[in-house]
Amino acid sequence: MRMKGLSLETIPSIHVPFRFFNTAPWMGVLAALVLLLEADSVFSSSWNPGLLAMTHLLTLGFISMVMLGAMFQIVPVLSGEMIPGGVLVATSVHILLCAGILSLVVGFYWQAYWLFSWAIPLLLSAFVVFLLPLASLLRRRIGGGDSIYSIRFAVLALLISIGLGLVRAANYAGLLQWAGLPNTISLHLGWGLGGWVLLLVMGVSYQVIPMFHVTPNYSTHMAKVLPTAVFSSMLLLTFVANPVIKGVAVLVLCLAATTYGIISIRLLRRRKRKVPDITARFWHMGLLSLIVAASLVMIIYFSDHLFPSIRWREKFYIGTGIILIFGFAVSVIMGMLQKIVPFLSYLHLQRSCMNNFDLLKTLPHMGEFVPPGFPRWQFRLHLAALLLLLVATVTGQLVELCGLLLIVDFSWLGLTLARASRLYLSTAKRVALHNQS
Amino acid sequence: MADEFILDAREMAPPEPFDKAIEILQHMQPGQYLRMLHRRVPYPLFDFCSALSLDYSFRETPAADFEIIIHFACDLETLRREGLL
Repeated sequence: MRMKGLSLETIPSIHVPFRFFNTAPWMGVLAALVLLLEADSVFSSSWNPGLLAMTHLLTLGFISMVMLGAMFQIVPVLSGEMIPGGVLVATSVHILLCAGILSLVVGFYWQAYWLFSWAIPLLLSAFVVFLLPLASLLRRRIGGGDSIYSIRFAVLALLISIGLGLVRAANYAGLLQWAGLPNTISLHLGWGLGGWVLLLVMGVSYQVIPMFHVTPNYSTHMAKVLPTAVFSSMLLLTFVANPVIKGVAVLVLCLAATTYGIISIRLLRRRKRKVPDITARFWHMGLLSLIVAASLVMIIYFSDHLFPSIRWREKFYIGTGIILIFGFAVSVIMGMLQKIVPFLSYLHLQRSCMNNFDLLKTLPHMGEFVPPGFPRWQFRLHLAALLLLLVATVTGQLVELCGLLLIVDFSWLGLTLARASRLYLSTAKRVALHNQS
Repeated sequence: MADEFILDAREMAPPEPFDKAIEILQHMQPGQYLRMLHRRVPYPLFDFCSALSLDYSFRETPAADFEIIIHFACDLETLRREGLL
């Protein structure tokens, strides 16, 4: 059933998503600092401690931080139901997640794996506190249509990815000696990026692309087939040993990601409003990266033996990871943040003017929260950072410059969001004073 | 016969539909109503309708858009007679 519309009566307090959104860019800055400090060796191997620290700062610190904040916002809005626990749950998740990520990353960076015995309970608590109330909502029959359908799969994928990640962390810390599933690392990566990130981006895009970019809706049929194909492929890759079936699963997974990318780009091309919108370019960059990454994953899986040396194979793996994490997920999230933060700010301020309509006219326009120049520069910086990251991976040169560019890229986003949040707070204060008088 | 204001918001991005609708609703008089075409149900607008003592109803159109009628309670019968509600 296609949802009837967004239910905005159940929106949580703006502080809930904003604390996650305002933290994430600075985790990205930390990732860039690691790149800068470890410039000599970071791209030497996919097992390099600096690279592992940087990857987790991006995947947990930036991507998951924003996605968790967005889930607190989008699930109630789509389903019309509040996530139990509200602000208390969000605050606990935010604190536990920040502490858990920092212990994990410091543990990786200084190879102080004993720190994982702190990181494991902290991250486990963060995700349990997040997932339990959410699961109590998602297992019920709620509204939200195609988006919630994909988000349910995304949450399951997150659960599996976290479980596998914690097993690996416990291994590092010497807390667990469990052979368990072979390829734990590949599955952890697959469920995290192919499952959690891709499925959640799919679910969210079914709403935000048609709404913010005024495009036709995704077809309901495809909106269900694609996440089902992604999730089923990941299940086959996890539990089936037959190499032919595994090969088919990789093919289906990559084709589903590519199809999603092509459909979304075609929808964006059919935008009904032809006014320039730089945030649509972030979607283009992200979706093109997804299509490229899906092709590279197929090359890795089916033609792994063709690489001339282990060194080149490592470069190829790292390059694919960069395109998927930085090119796809980070780009899409950067674009969405610059749309969602002004929208939420304006929406919350509107509602505070309910008793005094004259105040509505005094509110800053949505475009004032993030003026067009900010996303324009963000796009240039981000595109340059992506290209330079790829050059640095292949050549091993310009890594320091790349680190500096990444610092500017994430700091620019952090300052843009902080500026928007400040404008929201000062306006909310002014409106509250008017309402009191 | 009630006077109609029409607002086709199907190709507008947020918050334009809300801003334009509020502009009309603030100046609407009894005997007038707003017919809004939208791709979604504009829930935030309904809270403002209640604050302005206006009634509202919406229905999905065959093209999978929504037609929203916002009116004064006193015009309910007239709008029903005209087949709008």
